[in-house]
Amino acid sequence: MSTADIVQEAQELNKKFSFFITLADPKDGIPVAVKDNICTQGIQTTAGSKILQGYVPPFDATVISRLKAKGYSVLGKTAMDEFGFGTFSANTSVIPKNPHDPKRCCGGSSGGSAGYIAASKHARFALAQSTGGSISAPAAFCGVVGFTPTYGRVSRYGLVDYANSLDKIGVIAKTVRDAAEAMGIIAGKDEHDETCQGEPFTIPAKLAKKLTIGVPKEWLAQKIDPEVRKQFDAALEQCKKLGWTVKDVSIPSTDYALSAYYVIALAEASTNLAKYCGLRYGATIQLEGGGDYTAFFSKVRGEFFGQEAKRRILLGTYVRMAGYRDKYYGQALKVRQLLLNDFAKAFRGCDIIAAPTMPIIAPTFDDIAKLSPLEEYAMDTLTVPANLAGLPHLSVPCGRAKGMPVGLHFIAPQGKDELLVQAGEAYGA
Amino acid sequence: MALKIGLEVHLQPRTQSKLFCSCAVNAEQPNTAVCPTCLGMPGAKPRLNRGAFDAALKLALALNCAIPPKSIFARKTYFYPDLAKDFQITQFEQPFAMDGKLTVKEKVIPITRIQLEEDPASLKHARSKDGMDYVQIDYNRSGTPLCEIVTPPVFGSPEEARQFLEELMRLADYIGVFDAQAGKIRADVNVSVDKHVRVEVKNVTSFRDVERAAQFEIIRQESVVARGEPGEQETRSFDAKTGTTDTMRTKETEEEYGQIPEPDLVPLTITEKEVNVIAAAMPEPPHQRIARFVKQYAITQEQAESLMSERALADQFEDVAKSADAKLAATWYAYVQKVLNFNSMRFDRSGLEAGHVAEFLKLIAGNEVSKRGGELLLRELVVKPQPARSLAQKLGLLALSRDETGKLVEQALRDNPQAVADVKAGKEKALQFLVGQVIRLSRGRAKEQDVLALLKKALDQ
Repeated sequence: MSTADIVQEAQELNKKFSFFITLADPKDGIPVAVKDNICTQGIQTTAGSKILQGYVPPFDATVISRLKAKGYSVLGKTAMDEFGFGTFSANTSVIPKNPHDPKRCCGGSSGGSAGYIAASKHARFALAQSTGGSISAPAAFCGVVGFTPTYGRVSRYGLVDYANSLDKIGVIAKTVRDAAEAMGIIAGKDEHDETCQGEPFTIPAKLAKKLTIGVPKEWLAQKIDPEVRKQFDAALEQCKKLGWTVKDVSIPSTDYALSAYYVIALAEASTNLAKYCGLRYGATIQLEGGGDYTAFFSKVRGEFFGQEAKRRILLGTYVRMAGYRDKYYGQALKVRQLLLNDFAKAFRGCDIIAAPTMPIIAPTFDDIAKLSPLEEYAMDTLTVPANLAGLPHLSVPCGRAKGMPVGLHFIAPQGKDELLVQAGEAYGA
Repeated sequence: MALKIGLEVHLQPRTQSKLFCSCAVNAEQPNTAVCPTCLGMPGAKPRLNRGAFDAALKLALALNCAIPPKSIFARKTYFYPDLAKDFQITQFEQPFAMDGKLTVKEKVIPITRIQLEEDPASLKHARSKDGMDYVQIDYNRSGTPLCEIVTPPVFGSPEEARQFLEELMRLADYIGVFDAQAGKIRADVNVSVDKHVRVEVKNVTSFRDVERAAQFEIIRQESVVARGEPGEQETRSFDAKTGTTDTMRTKETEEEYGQIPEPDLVPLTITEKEVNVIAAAMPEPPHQRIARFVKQYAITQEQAESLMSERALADQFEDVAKSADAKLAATWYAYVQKVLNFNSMRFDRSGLEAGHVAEFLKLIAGNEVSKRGGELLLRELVVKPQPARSLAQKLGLLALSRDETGKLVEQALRDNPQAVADVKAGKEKALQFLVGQVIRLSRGRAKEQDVLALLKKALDQ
C-alpha cells in the first residue's frame, strides 16, 4: 500500500474513533502513528494537554530521527491521557474510542496508538510510551501486542516527561514480530539521554528451549474479573501444551508497589510540570490589568491544566516537601528496592513471569465516570510492578471475555527484552 | 563569640560550555547561546559536561576537600521567571566535595561543602515608553556551571568575609579554574549578632558589597536587639546603591524547594585513581610555593606573596631567576606589577616574556640603565613588550660612556667655578652638588661612579 492509502485510512478511522490529536498528512515514507508525548519536529506535540496547545517542537525525539533514517514518516500524534495521567485515555479532550466497541475506552494512556493499530488494516506498529502500564493496558483492551522495553533500552530524548525514572518508550503492534522490528530500529544507546545505556535490539532466533513460567500468587489474589481469569487460565494451559512448566512464584512487596509507584511517579511529575507556565511555549494568557509572575503562571496553570494533572501536581508536591519527604518519597524508594529484590528472587526459579495484563476488560465511558481516582489508580495493580522495577514486559492477546479482548502479560528479567519476543512468538502472538 | 558571619559563594568554574548542554558560556548577544535543554523545552534532557566537573574538582582539591566516590544531582523546585524549567539542577543530599579548608591571613576557614549546579537566566528590568515596567530574560546564562562553596558561620568581621572571598578568587584564578575577566562570583551572606537570629542576605555581587551588606546587617540587628525586639529569621536582599538590606521573605513564607534526585542524570561517580590523576596535575599550592620562594630565593615574604597573585607571574619569576639575581628580579617584578595596576592590566595578558625581563635585569645589573631609567624603561616595556636593550636605546636611557661623561664633567666644572673653589677649600657638600649637576646634564644617563671618579681626577689636578 502507498503512503496516501495509509493517510486516507487514518483520516477515516479518526472520524469514527478519534485516535489522533493531530494528523500530519505525510507525502512519503511509511507513515507511523506516534503518541503525542513524543516530540516531532514541525508537528504539534501536546502530550494530550491544553497547556501545550500549539506547541511545535524544534527538534525530533531520538526515536523519531531513528525511524526517519529507516524510511518512516510521522502519520500523526495519537490521543492520550493528559501527560499520561490515566488508565483509560479519558483524562483529556480528545478521547479515543475502542474499535471493538465504541462505547468502551481504548485504555491508556497510549490509547490512540493501541486503538489505531487494532483498527488499521495497513499499520504494523505505532510508537507508545509507558510509565506504569500505559503500553500494556491499552494493548490488552484493544487486543493488540504491547511491548515495553527495559528502562534505559530506548532513548527518552524528546519524550515529554511524566516520571523520568519510570518512563519508557515502546511499541504497540499487530504482532510480536512487528514489535521486534520496530524495537530493532529505536533501541540502543543515545548520547542525548544519560539514562539510556542499553544495547541495540537484535531480532532473536526462534525459541530453542522450554520455558518455566512463574505466576505470582499475590497478583492472582487481587480483584480480577472471573471471565478475565478464565482466559488467563486457558492461556496457561496453552503454555503447558508448548511443553513449558508453569509454577507459583512470590512477589511479597506487591501490596506496597502501587502506593510506592504513585508516590515516586507523582513526585517526579510535579517537578516536570513546573515548566508549563505560559512563558516560553504552549498556551498563554494576557493578564487583565497586569500583575506579577506568580499571578500570571497561576492563571495559566489554573486555566489549562486538567483536573487529574492538578491532582497529581498537588499529591506529588506534598510527598516531597520537607517533613514528608522521608515518610513518603524516601519510603517509596525503599519499596522499589524491595520489589527489585523480590523479582530477582522470583527469577531464580523461572524464566518469565506471567499474569493477566489488566484485571478487567475495557470499561465503558459510563463506568469510568463512576470511578473514584483511587479506583482508577487500582486498575494499575498488575502493570505497575514490572514498570516500577524497570523490567521489560509484553502484553499479547489471549482470547475474549464478554466479547472484548483480554491481555496476557509476560515479564522478563532486566535486559532480556529479546527473550520476551521469543516467548511471545512461541505462544503464537 | 557574639558576631557570626557565614558565606555561600557562587563561583563560575572556567569552561567552554554550559553544565548540561554544549552551548557556549558568557555569550554577549542576548539569547544567542541557547538550545532546547537550557531553555527547558519539553522533551529536552540534561547531560553532564565532564569538563565542568573536572574544573570544579580542581577547585575542591585546592580547598583540601574530601571527594566522595558518588554524588547526586537534585531538582530544587521554585517558580521564578529566570528559571527555564522552574526547577534548578543542583546538589542536595550528596554534594561532590565536602569538609575542606582555606587559610586566610593565618586563620583556617572550614569549607562545609561544595556543590555543582546550574545558573538561572539573567533578568533585565526595563520600562517602556508608555511607562510600563517589564522584564527581559536572557537565557545565555541559563545552565552556566556554578560551584556553590559553603562555609560555617566562622567569620568574626565583615572584613574577614571579604578577605576570604578575595583569597578564594585568587586561588581559583591561580589554579586556572576561574576566568577573572569573564567569570562570575557572587555570595549569600549569613549574619547574626548576639541575641539576634540568623539572617541571610541574598545575591551580593561584589566583594566590597559583601562587606557592606554585613556591616549594615550588624548595625540593623544591633538596633533591633537594643529596642528589645525579638528579631526575625528571614531572607533579605541587598541594595548596592544605598548599601542597605530589605526583607525578601520571612520564616513563615520561607521557600519550600521539595528536592528530589534528578532522574535524568545518572549519579556522578569518580574513582580514587581519577581523583589522584587530577591531584597530581595540580600546580604547587600557592602557600607552599610562597614558603619555598622565601627560602630558595632569599626574597621577602611580601615579595613572594605578591609574585603569587598570578600563577603566570610566579612561573616567569622562577624562569628568570635561573639566569638573573633572584632578589633583583623580585624587586623589579614588584615594579612591573605597579605598572600593570596603573594600566588595569593582568600580567598573563600583557605579553611580557621572560626574555624581555632577563635582558632588562642585565642592563640594571651592569649599571647600563640607572634605577630611575629602569622605571621609565619598564613603564614602556610592560605596555609594549619588546627586546629591552633596543628599547632603552630608542628611549635614550642607556648609560653614557666614560668619555661622554668626561665632557659633561668638564662643562659642569666650567659652569660652577664657586663650587669648584668650595671643593678645593675642603667642602664635601660642594662635591655632591657637582655630581648632581653632571647627572642633570646627562639627563640621568651618567653612571654615578664614573662621575665621581672623573670629578675627583679633574679637581685633584
